[in-house]
Amino acid sequence: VNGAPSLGALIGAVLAMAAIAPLAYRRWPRGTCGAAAVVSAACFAVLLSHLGAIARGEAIVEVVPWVPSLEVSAALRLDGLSAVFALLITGIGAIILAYAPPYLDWDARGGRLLGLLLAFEASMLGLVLADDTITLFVFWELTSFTSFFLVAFDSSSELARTRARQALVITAGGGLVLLVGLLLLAGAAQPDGVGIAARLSELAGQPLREHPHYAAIVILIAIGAFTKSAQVPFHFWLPGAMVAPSPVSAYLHSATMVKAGVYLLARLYPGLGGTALWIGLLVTVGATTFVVGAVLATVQRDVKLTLAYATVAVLGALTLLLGIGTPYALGGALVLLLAHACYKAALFLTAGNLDHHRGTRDPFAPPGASRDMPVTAATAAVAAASMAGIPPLLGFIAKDAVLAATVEGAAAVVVTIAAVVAGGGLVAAAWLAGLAPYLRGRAPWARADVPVALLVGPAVLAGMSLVLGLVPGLIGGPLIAPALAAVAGRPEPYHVVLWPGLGGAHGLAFGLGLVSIALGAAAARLVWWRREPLASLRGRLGRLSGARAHEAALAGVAHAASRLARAVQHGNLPRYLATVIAAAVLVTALPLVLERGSIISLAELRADTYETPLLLLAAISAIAAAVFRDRLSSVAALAATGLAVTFLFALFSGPDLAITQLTVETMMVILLVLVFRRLPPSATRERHRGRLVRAAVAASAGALVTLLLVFAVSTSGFPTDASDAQARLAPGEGFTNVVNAILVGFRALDTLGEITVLAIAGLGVAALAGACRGGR
Amino acid sequence: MGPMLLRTTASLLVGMLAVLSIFELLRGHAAPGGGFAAGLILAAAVAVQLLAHGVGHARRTLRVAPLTLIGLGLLTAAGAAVSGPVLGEPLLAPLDGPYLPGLMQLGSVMLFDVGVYLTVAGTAVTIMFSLVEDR
Repeated sequence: VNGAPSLGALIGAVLAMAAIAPLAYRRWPRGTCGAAAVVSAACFAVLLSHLGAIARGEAIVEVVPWVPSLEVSAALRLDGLSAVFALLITGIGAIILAYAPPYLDWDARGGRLLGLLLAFEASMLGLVLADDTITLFVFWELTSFTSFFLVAFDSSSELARTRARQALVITAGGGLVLLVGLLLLAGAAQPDGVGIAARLSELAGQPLREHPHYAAIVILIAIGAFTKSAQVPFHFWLPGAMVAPSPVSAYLHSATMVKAGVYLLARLYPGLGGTALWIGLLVTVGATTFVVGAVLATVQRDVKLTLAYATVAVLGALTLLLGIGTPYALGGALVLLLAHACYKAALFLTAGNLDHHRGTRDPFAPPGASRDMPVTAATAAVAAASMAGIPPLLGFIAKDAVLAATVEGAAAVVVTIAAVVAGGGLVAAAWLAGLAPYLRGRAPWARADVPVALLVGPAVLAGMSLVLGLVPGLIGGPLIAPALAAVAGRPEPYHVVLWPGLGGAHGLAFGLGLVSIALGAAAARLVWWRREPLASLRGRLGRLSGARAHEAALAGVAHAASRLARAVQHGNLPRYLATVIAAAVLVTALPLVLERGSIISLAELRADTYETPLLLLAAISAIAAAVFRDRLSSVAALAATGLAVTFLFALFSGPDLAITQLTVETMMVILLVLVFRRLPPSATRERHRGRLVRAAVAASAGALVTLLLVFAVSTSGFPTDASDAQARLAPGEGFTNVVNAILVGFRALDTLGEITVLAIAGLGVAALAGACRGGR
Repeated sequence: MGPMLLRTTASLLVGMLAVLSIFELLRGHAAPGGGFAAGLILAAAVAVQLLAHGVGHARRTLRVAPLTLIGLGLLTAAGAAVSGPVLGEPLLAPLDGPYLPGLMQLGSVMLFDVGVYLTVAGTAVTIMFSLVEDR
């Protein structure tokens, strides 16, 4: 569409609003809240305006070079699949942004919440619009970070901080695995290129499935997607993240962030999907997650936890459908995605209303209380009906599609039974979260409800579930068909209709749907009758979850780190020195001996009249320095070695080295003597074995330096760049000292660093001495 | 207090060493020498005073606090380094000032070397003083 803002501008607008919101909120809370929602809604409208072009099979592409030498570019692309997600992100984003500040009763924290939600929205938008693997990864990690701050929003609560860290460790850790997978993918997509990034839209035609790295790519990327989309065994972070405020859960944990993994799998389907590995992995993990999530959802006694586990179940179903991979399954996944986003966000917001109004999220409490919150109750009932798959809601279409896809897909019998059982669990969960909190009790209906600002958002979302269920054509042609074409890699005939008839798989699916509703009703009765024994069952199931393994792993890392620190930071100065020297000897000597051993020759070695006595002097004083028992004598012997070396330098026409060596030796002797004044009078003699080890280390260091020298003299053709440097540095007369030209001209940056280190070391010594003196 | 011989000759030695250090610094451009060695020679001059007359006298002889020397030195070196970018050249680019005929080339390289000189001398003296000053 000509004249429409670019995709980058959409992300930028949301990001800019994120920067402004926390400040502006202090002055104009209501205005800022409205502006944030309007920005998000405007993005939604812009995206809607692109739908016509996308339905014709076009895509909007924007590419800005980023790191051209590595073929990384900030590439954005809006196609059918991106459009579905981007519309969910901006549309539900607008509703959440309008809901969040009133949920906090317009208190001062609202600005921070708005800013964080907007920052998350921008990251999420970038994630689904990115066409470059590195760009995608950057946004992927940004969603992890922003969601960390959102989960830890109540930062004074230790529980919130712990859960936020848990979510961050799982999702960011998965992100690292994903990065490796994406790099391998980029390498496979361009075998002769040097780039580290690949265009996601260009993967379809590549022979990736035959690539030797294919299995590694799929498994690594799948792990990244599974952590983000809370698949078993990484699912536990999602219920844990329910400490976040309800609007955050509604946005991140139902509609957007947890769908990022599903998005990635769908995005990569044309390039990687459809193989036995893909089907086996996704169907197994997806079906397991579907059942585990649904069963755990029914035994919770907290509306938000029920919803969280139900979300886990639906994410499992989406993974399962992407694994099955028939056009019907892929289309069904897209419908389920939309249906779930609408009803689950609505239910999270009604759960927020419940919390806001009653201060509890227990669906069975208080017993016999008044039936208040009529609007919230009606909203929740509609959304719950969609969740349970009752016609004529959008959830019914989705559920029918899921069951129809499973009866035709891989491992049909097992997967179908799993889907029916899980569907039953979702029905019971829908009753728990959408009906039980409002209908229990016998008192007459009271009109008390939360403020209107908290009623509009969930009502709109629940209304969408109803409208889109009654008029599925609104999404079928403009939204689902282009998205399905993007996932399947080619246009597929797929129609979203409320009543597909009973022909083919649909008859069986409809029957199975009835079975699952019956199952769910039975489960709901059981949960109600057995609500007290369920508490202990919940405890036992909780022990099974990966959260324990996660906490144990974290504690293990901390324990191992402290043991390592104690082993390495022993505080014994001679041992530090010995370690450093031995390590230096090893890493230097090994490659020298292994690779260059053959070219070392002693033919060039000789000493003439003057050099022999100087070498002897140096050697004898070095030995004396080690043997003397008195410190001062040792220092004197050391100084004698240094002087002998100074003379050698002078002999070999190295006056600069000689001068430097002389001044350094002088200063070293002075400093050592001053240090000895502060030491206890007699050196304590250490054990025999320690001396032997140290002697060995010292001897090996000496041997290495000898080896290096021999190597140096037996190698001909040293580079003579020094004179070139001088030529560059000496325009005209003056700069004729090559050594100094290098030190303060050619390599002046090194020198600048060195004198800075020197100064810091001096300050450190002064501080240490001062601390010792003052006893502080 | 150091031995009498040292006490008697200290002032002479200190003056000679100080002059020698400046000579080495300026000479570094064209002949062996340079800021590093010169800085250590200056520190040696202070060390003579310290060993002969004690730390208080040495401090008075130096006149400035050694930490000030370090700061001045780093600032000078950094100033010489950024003089390039300020004048539209790359960082640490050698910029030539006036040439003193028969003596030396003034410019950013010389300035940088002065920075090295002050930093090295300041650091060495700081360490010496902190080791000596009483527990």
